[in-house]
Amino acid sequence: MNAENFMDLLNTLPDDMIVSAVHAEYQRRTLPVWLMPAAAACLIIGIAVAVYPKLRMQKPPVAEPVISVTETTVAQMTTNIQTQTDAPETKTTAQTANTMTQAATDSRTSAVTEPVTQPAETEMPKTEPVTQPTTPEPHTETVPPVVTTVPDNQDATEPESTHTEHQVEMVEAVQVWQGEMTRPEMASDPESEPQIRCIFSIFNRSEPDMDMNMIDDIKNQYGIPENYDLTKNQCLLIRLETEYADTAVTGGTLTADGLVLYVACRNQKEPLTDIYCAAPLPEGITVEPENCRAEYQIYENESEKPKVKNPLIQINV
Amino acid sequence: MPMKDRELLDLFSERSERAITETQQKYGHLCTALAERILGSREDAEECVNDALLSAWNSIPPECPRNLPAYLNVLTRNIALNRLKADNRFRRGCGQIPAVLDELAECIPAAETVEAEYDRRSFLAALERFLDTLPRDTRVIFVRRYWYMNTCREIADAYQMSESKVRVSLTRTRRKLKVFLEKEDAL
Repeated sequence: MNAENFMDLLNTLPDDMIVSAVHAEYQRRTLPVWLMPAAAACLIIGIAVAVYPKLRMQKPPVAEPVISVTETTVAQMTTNIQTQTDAPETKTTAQTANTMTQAATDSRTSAVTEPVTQPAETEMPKTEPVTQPTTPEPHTETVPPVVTTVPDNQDATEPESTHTEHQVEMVEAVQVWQGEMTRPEMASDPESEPQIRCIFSIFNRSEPDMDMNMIDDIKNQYGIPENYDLTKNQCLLIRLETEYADTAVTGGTLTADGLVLYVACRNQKEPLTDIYCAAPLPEGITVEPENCRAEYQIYENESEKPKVKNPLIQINV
Repeated sequence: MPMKDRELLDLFSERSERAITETQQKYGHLCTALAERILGSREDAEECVNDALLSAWNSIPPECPRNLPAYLNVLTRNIALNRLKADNRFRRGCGQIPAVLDELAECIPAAETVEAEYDRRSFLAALERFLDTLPRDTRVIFVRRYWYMNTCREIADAYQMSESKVRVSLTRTRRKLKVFLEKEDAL
């Protein structure tokens, strides 16, 4: 077989094939019209599938007007010798407040119980100064000092001193808003050890009798942004009463066990200062003031001051 | 108003000379164009068509072709190719023949065997099977090029596509044909 024979052989092709080649119209492969709406529908469905789960994540706010207050007073020293003292507990008709006082001296050999009593709160946390030991002595139960060795490089099981080192399975982080700093005129013994305590309260939407002026006052005092609606969202309110210099919140960690707030301050006594902070609490997260505590990092030199511009509370619930 | 094929065949059967003139009027230009593409000459092509009509007159009856234009085209094509061979012009170049032969030489090797007749039959069967496997458009382009000897430009104009697309289609079809025939052991 060669090309010439092939040419002859083509003459024996079926008639249909020969005739159809002359009269055939070329079949253009045009896109079916019905394909366009089908493709558009698929595109819309695809976008909806991608967007809908994100929309579902936004939970609507649930109004539960509850305000609870707790106070934690802690005086820490560099040696981390801690003594717990139970302060008298007072219940009011409106709220229950737990007072836990921790005091310590700056001595390595002995721990002196120095209770700081905080009267029970009946409303929102007030800017009350640290009560000095001159106040009537509460029922004091001295706990044997627990010496915790905290070397420079802290144990891995110990809470870290700055929030940036606490990121374990971080789910979300909220910023800590800085509010007012006030200096109540309180006479204090210049020889006594500096005191610091942290008072937590959860602003869980307004009480029925709370008017907008009060809410605005709270916002201004705690540095809550204007656009954060306190009537619809819960909020963590923090008041730091400190006699240490350069006291500042450096971060925090919110877990299922509660909130740990990290506070740094310089080991130098200053007049009593009230520092107000706040942090938004996302919906669905429940935290009780009793489960909130503060950890203090007291540094000696300015160079040791943690450089945290925007402190964050890591939420890992 | 041209006559229908059935009426033309009836005229052939009745041995009416009108059959020639009516057939010439209806299919003359088709056959002439085919012959001209093979012979490369208008005069030769017209002579070739006349011979084809005479051949049809002689063969109908007893034959009764199912498809009259295909029958006339096959007659014309055979006569034109035979005339080329008789004049020993097949290879010298006439019309589309040299180009078509060159293209076909890519897939049809120039080898003669002793079992020539057997090869023709098996080859034809394989070729028909191959053409059946092709998409309709590809098959039409192939037949118009190697049966009707249309140029690529003519095919492209007829189907409103680019000439390069026609060339690409033919190249691919020849490549497939070679593979197919080798697979079928028809070469």
